[in-house]
Amino acid sequence: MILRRHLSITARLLLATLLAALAGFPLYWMLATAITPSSQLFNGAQPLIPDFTRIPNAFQALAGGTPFLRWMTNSGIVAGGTTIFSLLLATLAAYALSRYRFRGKGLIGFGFFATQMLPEALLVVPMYSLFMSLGLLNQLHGLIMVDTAIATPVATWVLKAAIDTVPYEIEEAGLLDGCGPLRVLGRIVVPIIAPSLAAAGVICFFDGWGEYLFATTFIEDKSRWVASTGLASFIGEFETPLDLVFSAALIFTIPAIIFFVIVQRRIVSGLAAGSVKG
Amino acid sequence: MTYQTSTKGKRWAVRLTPYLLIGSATIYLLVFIGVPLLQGARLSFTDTRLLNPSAGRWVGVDNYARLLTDGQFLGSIATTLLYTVLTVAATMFLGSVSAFTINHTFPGRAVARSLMVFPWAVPTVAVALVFRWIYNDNSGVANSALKTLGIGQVGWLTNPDFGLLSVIIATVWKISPFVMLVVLASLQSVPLELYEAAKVDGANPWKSFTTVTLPYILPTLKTVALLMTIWSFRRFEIIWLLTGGGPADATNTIVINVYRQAFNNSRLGFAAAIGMIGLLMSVVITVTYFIVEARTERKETRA
Amino acid sequence: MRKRKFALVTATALAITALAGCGAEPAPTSSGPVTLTFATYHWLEKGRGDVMWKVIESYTKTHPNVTIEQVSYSRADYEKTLSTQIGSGKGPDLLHAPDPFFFELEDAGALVSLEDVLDDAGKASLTSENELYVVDGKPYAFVWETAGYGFFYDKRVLADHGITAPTTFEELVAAAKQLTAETGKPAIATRHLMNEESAWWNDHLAWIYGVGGDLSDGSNLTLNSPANIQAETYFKELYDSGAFAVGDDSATFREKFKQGAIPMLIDAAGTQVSLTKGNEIVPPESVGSSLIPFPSKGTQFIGGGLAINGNSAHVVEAKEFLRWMYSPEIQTQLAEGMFPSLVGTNIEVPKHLFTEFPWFQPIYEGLKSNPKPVVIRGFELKTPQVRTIFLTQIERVLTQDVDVTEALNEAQRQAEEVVRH
Repeated sequence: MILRRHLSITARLLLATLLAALAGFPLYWMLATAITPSSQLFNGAQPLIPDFTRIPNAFQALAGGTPFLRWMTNSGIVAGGTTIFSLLLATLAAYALSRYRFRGKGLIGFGFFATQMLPEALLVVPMYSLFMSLGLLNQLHGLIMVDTAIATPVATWVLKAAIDTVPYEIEEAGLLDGCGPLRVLGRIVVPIIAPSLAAAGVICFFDGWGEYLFATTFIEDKSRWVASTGLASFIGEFETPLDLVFSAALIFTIPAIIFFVIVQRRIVSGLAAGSVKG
Repeated sequence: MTYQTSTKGKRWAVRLTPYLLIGSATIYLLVFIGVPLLQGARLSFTDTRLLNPSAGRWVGVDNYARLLTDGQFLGSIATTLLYTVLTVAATMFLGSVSAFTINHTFPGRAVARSLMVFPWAVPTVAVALVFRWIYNDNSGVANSALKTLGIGQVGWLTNPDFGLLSVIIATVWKISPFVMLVVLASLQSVPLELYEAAKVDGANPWKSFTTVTLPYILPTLKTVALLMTIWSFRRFEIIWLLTGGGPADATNTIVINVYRQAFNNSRLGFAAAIGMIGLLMSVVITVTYFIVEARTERKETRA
Repeated sequence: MRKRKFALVTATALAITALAGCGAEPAPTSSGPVTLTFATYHWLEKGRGDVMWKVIESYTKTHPNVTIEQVSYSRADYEKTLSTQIGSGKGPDLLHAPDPFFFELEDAGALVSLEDVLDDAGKASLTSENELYVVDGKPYAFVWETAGYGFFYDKRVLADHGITAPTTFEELVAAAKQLTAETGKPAIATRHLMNEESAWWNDHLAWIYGVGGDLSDGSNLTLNSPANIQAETYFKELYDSGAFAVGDDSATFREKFKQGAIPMLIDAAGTQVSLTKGNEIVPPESVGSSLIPFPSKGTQFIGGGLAINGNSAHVVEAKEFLRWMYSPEIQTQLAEGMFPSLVGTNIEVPKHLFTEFPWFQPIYEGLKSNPKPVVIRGFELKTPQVRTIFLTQIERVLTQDVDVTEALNEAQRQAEEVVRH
């Protein structure tokens, strides 16, 4: 398929190299700082290219001294839980918004969208009281519930746009066969929109993995901290040498990146499904 | 799209279906977001302090009146607007350029694409950490680079003239991938036949861009821009962890202000008022967007 | 058979009686096991927190039905997290309230009066700083620590460059400039950044009190007094000297000091222990100290009170614990971990600490010479807001070269606005 391209290949290559370098540099710097010995880090003495034989030091945060591995596990639990619950709620909601006309649809739809405008700082104290009365404080599942509330509307938006592009005939066939809407949704629609589910899943996962404000306010027990709280506690904490802090930052980042790499191919097509209608 | 059913009994059940489907999510959000929001609204009319959330006295619009004459608050509105406009512009530009670059094959494309998307995956706390280090006045690599280039040192996070810029750079770095992905997806769904048709008509690359690509992806661009805008209004962590609102209030956005008032000064009622005003601004922008959209659509359908 | 049955019944009866005793009015020796939660950010400090904890933990040996549980948050989130919890009716039983926060808590009625905790001998042993926590004649907290600040320097580095320890501000600046000229690196650091606002404030008072200035005279704010203007002029001069570590937050410059990458600090004394103990690059003996070189040597102390949370379900047990903790033997043991801060009673600081850490002497003397608190007299509750106003103006002086007098006048104006409400 020979197409007139908007850019020549050379231009593309140059531009891509520049963009990739800009994107990758801070990550590289995280690694470099993690493996540079403390004594070389100050007064502008940090080498641009660190001693790569010290790569094992990039993982020093796992070694002990800080409960970082524990914190990461907690982050994983929160992220996983958020993803599952958000996708559940969002899929049902998106189906309703896409396929049905009902009273209050516009209002509810706008309401979902409106949650994106709410600053967390405004919500955190009232939510704290609410959670306290529900006994959800200092619990990871409490955090999952907060993050689900935050992630569901976005996931709904992505999934609704995706379902909008699925041709109705397929579902109609299923309905005429006597399947209820839930079965149609589960058996027919969901497999078709799998890429968008992956995209929405990634959004939810990242929300849960990296969320900071609620995690820090709601979780008291140091053993139940999530990694974002733990890592933030290193900022301004002089007891932890800088290279150890960056090792922690790196390790905190890696699972998110791995998760993303695994799902990435699906994501592009997943976000495509919705973008046509905007 | 409405479901049509033949039997009357089923119609009743069917009418309930959408409510059942969307019900759980709606109730969930009402409880976890709606209720706290209403409480926040109520708080904004009181002088509640953080330590005694139930003991606030009703002060009516006193908080709001005081805010609208408070220089620091008005400054935070300006800062928020500036931050938003610049961030959204830069992100849309960078994201779109990235999407266009990646759109066709070239050697190393897969690697480049992966790298370009990574920033989005990096947790905000880690982003703040690494950028603080990059921006550090005498140990950071940014100033080392400037020194080698002979330009001289910049107080990235310590000079009020640069504070906002530094925060914007970090934000744009983290968020552009999202725009890139959405735009890329949109680009890739442009039907090839349209390009063929344009080519047959003798269009050069620029022409086919303006007549085929741009109109097709414009709705997506607009939606993403709107989302980025309201997200910028409420973005908290990256600014807080990088500068805490400083230096000299250079990065003191509305949300930072809310947080500081609530937790540093314990003035919960006052903070809630600030938050409500911020929320109002977002709503105004969104509603304006939808009105303009509706009007444009109406114009188009009429034409 | 019968005997065993009888024994069983008796045992059950006793157990029931004992359990019934639980529901009765709180007696100092309640029959059920009690857990007291104790919150402070100090637990997280290596070399101090763990030492103190061992002492605190030993309470269980003499009071087996009470377990003390450690609660810690990072310094940055401390007040925020506690506020949210207490505001919601929860929170730890015992809490360390750093100075401005204490007044918040007391004003909100969140603390329990401690007037019946200590006997006369105990009350007499309290240091004068405890008066800060007396409201309407009743104590609502006892001093947990009195922390001092000072000017610390690596003696060897100064000696290498032929510099004698500075005793006036001019000498300080000259020494710093000389060191930077000869080493090419910043020579002195202290806090100056807004994102450690409250800690910067605590540090910064060393300058203001050092020249004999103050933020209020007890009934009026005096932000723009001539002494304060002098203090800020000094600060600005040091900042502009070229020898100042601009942009380094305390975590960074402390790490630098530990690595021997910067020779002079104006900092809290507390960190000097963690920075120098067991440090081969900068061992304790090589550190010299003094109160900031100024004409008049006023200094500040960071206080923190230990209080009982009004939401606590175990107020009686908590009071009993405090009684134990403020007894002379326990205070002496705590002094080891609290070092180089002083504890709340006037027990003697163990002598070996003076010899092991020779830089402590000047700091100790400063703490014993009526240091001033970090809250604004007469405006304790408004301290956080006035602090933000004041420091924002100082930021402008530092980074935008605004004139000191103009900035402080502006601060005074804004602060007067705020306290009027």
